[in-house]
Amino acid sequence: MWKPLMAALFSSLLLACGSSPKPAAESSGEGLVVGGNPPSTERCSDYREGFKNSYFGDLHTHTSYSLDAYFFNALTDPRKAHRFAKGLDPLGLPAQGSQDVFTQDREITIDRPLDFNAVTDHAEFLGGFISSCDQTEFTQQQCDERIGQGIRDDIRNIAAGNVAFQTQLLQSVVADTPTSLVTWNQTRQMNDEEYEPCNYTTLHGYEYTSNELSQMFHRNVIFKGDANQVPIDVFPAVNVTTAVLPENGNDDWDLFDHLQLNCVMRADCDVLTIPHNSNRSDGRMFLAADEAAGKTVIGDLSGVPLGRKVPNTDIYFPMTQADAELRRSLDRNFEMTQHKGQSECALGIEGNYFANDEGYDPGCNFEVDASVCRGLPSDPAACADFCTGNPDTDPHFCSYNDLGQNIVPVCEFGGPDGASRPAEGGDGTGNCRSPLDYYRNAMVEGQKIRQALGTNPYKLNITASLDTHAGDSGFAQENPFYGHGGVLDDDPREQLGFWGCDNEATGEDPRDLNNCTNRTFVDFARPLNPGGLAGVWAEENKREDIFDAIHSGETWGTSGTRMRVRSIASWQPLPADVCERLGNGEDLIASGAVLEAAPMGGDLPPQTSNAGPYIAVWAEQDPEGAPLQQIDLIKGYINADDEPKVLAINAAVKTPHPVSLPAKSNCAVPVDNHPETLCLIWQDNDFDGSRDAYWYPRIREVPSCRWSAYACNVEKQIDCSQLDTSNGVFPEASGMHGYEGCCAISEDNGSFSGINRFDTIEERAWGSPIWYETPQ
Amino acid sequence: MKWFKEPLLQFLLLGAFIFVFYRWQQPPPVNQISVPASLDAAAREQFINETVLIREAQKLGLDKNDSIINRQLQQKMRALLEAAATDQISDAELAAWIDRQPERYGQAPRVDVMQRLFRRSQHPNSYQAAQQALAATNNTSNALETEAETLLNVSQRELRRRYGESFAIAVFAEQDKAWHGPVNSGLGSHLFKVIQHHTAAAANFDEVKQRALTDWRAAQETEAFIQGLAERRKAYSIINDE
Repeated sequence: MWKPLMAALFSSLLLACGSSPKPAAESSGEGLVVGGNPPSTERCSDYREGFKNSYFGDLHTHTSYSLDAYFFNALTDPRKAHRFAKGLDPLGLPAQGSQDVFTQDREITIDRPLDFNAVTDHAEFLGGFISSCDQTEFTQQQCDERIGQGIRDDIRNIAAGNVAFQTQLLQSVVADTPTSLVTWNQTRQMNDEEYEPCNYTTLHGYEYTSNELSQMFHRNVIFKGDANQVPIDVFPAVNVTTAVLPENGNDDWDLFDHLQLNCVMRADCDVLTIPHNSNRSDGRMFLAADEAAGKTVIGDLSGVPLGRKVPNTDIYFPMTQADAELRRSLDRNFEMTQHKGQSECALGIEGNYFANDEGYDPGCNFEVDASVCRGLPSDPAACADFCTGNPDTDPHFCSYNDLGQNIVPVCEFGGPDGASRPAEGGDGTGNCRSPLDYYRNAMVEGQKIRQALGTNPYKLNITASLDTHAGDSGFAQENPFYGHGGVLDDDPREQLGFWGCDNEATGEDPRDLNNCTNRTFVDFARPLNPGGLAGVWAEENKREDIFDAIHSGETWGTSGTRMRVRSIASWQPLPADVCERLGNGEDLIASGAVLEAAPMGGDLPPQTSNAGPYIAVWAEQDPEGAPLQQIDLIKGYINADDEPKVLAINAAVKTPHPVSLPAKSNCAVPVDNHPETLCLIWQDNDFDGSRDAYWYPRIREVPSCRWSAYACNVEKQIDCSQLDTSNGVFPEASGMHGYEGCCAISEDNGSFSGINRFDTIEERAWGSPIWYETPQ
Repeated sequence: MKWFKEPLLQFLLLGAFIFVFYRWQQPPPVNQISVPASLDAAAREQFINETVLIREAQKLGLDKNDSIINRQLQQKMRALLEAAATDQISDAELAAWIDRQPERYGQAPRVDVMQRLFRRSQHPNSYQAAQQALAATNNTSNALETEAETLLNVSQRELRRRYGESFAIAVFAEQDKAWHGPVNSGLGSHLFKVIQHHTAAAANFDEVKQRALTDWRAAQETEAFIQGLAERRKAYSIINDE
């Protein structure tokens, strides 16, 4: 009985988001951490007065202390994640394709060390399994057999995010356990011990993993100080009443209240939150103004979204000004891309926001998670330009067709508590995608809300991270990509997808169409990717500097490349050498070199003339990566009709040379004298100072191979013509069995055929916006 | 009592003693289950049932070739071998241990270097441009130096972050204090001149003590495990299966 229960326990947390850990030396075991780092008041050797340096890091890692990750790779802990990220030690992985998560078989080493890192295990049941299961060999075996195997076997449900009521009940019961206190203490101790000022910064953090009907409503909580300056326990999204009184659709306020009381109001504590995976929130993360979503509302919802609700009811209040300010004071930065796809924009889900004449933005064709485009005539019109039938240029989602689990409809509206959820979505779970799931629409919707509340509650700057569940912080490389789910997705079959039946355990065979219930292509991992990295401009690589940079927003997010980006805006013309000086890290505003200005992430001062602002964007390629292709500038604004709009100025500056695809045989990227740096100096001549606006840059590299192209076209030379026409499976003798996901498979009257795909991507970076808010 | 010195008798007595001792030491017969008195009725039932099932399974040899049991036996043995490790170390010994690993605990070696980057966007053939600039340089001309960027006291890691791995490696490998290159990075072609190398500085004991202590304990356990395993392996002869 409890195996399926516990198996499903994970559904809401996994994808949202071993060996026994030796207790840290001299850990007190509970309560306060002893020790800590000596104060580092000396300047770092890279400190330059009046200048900032660029640093790269990861703000989203799960280790075996997370309830789900424990059963994917129990060999990790926060210390191992840090040492891997430093490039100091390799990280242990279970055997490829194995289900034994306790035995190390492989080692991986990070390609390039990180400068900073935050391990962010799930607050819910933090350390619960590693604490209880790793007590003895017997308990470890029992846990793995009764729970772990169930979870791993139940991946279809887990990927779909199905959570049964009894599961929620059980989840509630085990949510509040004293294990989190001990585990959080160990985590903090390890973070402090691994902190090396000037060289490698650790930040204390955890993930608050709120879910309702698989609408992801997740935030990372990042603290500024040392171990003894952060709260002594984590705050979970699940409590003893969650199953019967689900408040998860509204518990962001619980988190904000908790952090306000337990940190912000304390003299020595500072904290920020980073929302992520709004791309899986069904419109819940950023609610629309005026949208009641079928709920009873007490008060006037004009121009504002739903706010708090009467506890244990379905009755809501409009968001208040105080709550808008509370949310804005904590939500400071956004995870633009990660393992589960980017949240900037998606093809076919632009809604009424998009202002470009063509009605879609080709720049959104990048690591889109579940897609409304799937290569069928019934796709939204915007999809047709991407799914042309040419396997060399079509994005991978164009081969979904009717297969697979990554197809979703567009939400009719967004709402809390699963309110936006249609009866049955394309992926069979009732999930959907809303225009407000995507950053650039949400930011301008927030500007609309600001008209009513005086604060943009959604205003967020930009970073990116991994969200790995295997402890490999910062391991964002495309080749090779071992997945970030430990044993769940560490071999090509799991990563690329495979044919499956409901009852394989009792003898059904995916190769036999007559003996396979609900035969489907199990491809939950196909849209997954190696994730991104966070870039910051800071004076020194120390906790307070890195935190302050993330808080103020002089940050950018990348798709894993180490491209550097910096921008500035001013009401006055910019110096001719502004790009070079931006790239050198010069603090142009503090020195007075640029007046009436804002750095990336900052607010422009009040307008001093009728002219629009000048904006400069500097970008330099990864010195170990591919050349640059173009700078796009995305503008959000309230138009003359008072509507929130987004305009994509694609290729505002671009390479002077023709762009070609990488070599199919070995994925080599032709340099072709494409530039290593790009500089955009631009004035917004279509600007209205009486309306809010933002501008952020998106910089794209020339095309390179996606991880799936390395797996299909380089590691193996897959030939899709060898698929068995009777079942769409490669015969064992072909040596290609397990690589079916390399093919765009179609079925015609029971006859299967496939054509080879060639998945390329344009690696990219997104700089934090420069904001303009009208004076009030 | 001369008969007592008879070796055969001594041998027999010793054998008898060992037989009695081991008989006394042996567990109860396999068909007998002794139940702890502390168990209540329900737990007692469960204990008995579990013990019966385990004993029956053992009789049938079901514990043989079981991957989970084998894994747990390995884990237990590993823990046993690791437990032989010493876990006490004085500060002086730890400091010496730290000093033996300057690359891990010490401050990284640093360099003062001048470099000139011929950017790809400014030179259609950046490598050739760098080569020509280098060829034009001689002892009397310092054209390169006037346009060079001087980087002081940088680590290899910092240099890599800024200009890529190939350049960072080349600079740190170069002892000669003249202009060298070109070295290609993603950004273009680099010429460089090392001004001076700063050797690795010793670790600050107080700063690295906790980290080193954790490492040292893990290292002792690994060492104890490796030694213990090697000793036990000596007792085995290895033959290759056909």
